[in-house]
This record gives sequence, C-alpha cells and structure tokens, in this order.
Amino acid sequence: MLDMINIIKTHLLENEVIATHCTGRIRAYHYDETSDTKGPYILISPLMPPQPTTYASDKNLTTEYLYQIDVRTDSEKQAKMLSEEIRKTMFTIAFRQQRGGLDDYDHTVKRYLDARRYLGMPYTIEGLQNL
Amino acid sequence: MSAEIKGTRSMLEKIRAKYGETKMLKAQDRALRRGAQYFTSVMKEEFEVFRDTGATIDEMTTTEPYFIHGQVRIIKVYWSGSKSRQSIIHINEYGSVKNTNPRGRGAIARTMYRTEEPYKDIIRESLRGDL
Repeated sequence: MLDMINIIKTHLLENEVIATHCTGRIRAYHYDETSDTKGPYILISPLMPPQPTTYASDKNLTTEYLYQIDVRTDSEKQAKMLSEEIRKTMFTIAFRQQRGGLDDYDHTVKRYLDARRYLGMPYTIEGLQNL
Repeated sequence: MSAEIKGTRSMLEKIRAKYGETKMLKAQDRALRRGAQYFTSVMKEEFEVFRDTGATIDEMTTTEPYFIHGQVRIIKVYWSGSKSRQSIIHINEYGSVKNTNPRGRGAIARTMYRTEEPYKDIIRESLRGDL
C-alpha cells in the first residue's frame, strides 16, 4: 500500500518555489476555517477512493488516483505561479492535469482560488514502484 | 509501435449506402438517448448522497441529439429550472474561495469515471441491435 497523499506532499515540497511559499501550508482533506488566511494555502482532496486498474496474472499492478489540488492566495500572480509549479511536479510523478477546474476570485475576502484536477495511474506493486 | 488504418471512409460510405442516412441517424439517436439516460441515472444516484431539497436532481435535463461541427452527434446534460441550479452547480463540483469542502465535491467527475466503460458498451450494443 502506498500513502499517496504523503508522497504528493513530499514531492511538492521538494520543489523550491512551493517550499518557499507553502512549507507547513499544505493540507489534505480538510482546511480549517480558523486557520491563518494571510498567505497561500494548498489543499489536496481525493475525489474518489484509489481504483485498482491494470492486472497481470491476477496481480494488481497499478492504481488510479484522482485528486483536486486547490491553491488559495491573496495575489493572482502567486496563485498561477504555484499552480504551474504543482502541475510540473505532478507531471514528474505521472499525474496528468484533467480538463475543467476553477479560477475564481472572491471580492469580500479578497482571495483567489485556482483549482485543478489530476489523474494518475502509478505502479503500486512492489518491485515496479516508480515513486 | 503504430498502425495505419485505411479505408474507414469507404467503409462508412458502404454502410451508408446499405442502410440509408435516416436509418443511421435514428440508430445513432437511439443509442445516444440510451447512453444519456444511463448517465443521468448514475449521476442522480451520486447526487442522492448529499441531497437537501432535491432541486439539483430534479433540474438535471438532457438536450435532444444535435450535431456539432456538422458531423458529430451529441447529447448534452445540463441544469435548467426555476431554482437556477445551473448557476451554482460549479460550486458544488469544485468548491469556492470560501466554501472549501462542499458535500459531494467531484460528484460529476466520479460519475464520468464510473460510466465511461458501461456507456461505451451501451452505445455499441444499441448500434449493433439496430443496424
């Protein structure tokens, strides 16, 4: 079994841009309403449970994951920059950006949101794992 | 490895000549309607989990089959009705700046994932039965 969310977190923090802006600010599943809303925040939310996909000789080789990764910031530029870095990092661990998403601004709280979705099918069988 | 497929155009011409334009169109429409009906039934099931008044489920509608780009026949699923769910359905699907975790986030994405293979089967079987 792979702890995919943890793997994504570690890979994201290995990126220098994300690490400078978002160390300790990457959350999964839940984002506290009371948490500090001054800086940029990254939220990873799984949209469905991992789905076993490819099989060979009754062995499950790969698992499919679908994640939505939100970036909430105070500046539009920063939101786009972080989202792009996330996209590049996700690409290196075999996650591809999906069609759709949301690019939003709320004028009452003056914050931006860039929400993108990533689908990935990494090898999860021991011996073939590439993450 | 790559393969080249030749003669699809002439094959389609032959099918057209054999069955006639109207019969082909009828068969396509029937297949599309069956597929769309299956898709909306799964989507309703997926939305049932977090229903409140049920307006989002009731207002889900499908168009009649129509052509895009002159060639491709499609049916569109959309929201329309007195409670105007078409204007907030994207918030339910992706979340917003303030509402980070709406219940049922990603319901449409999950439906798309679930119905992908069965939908293709329905279209194939329906066409096979009609032609």
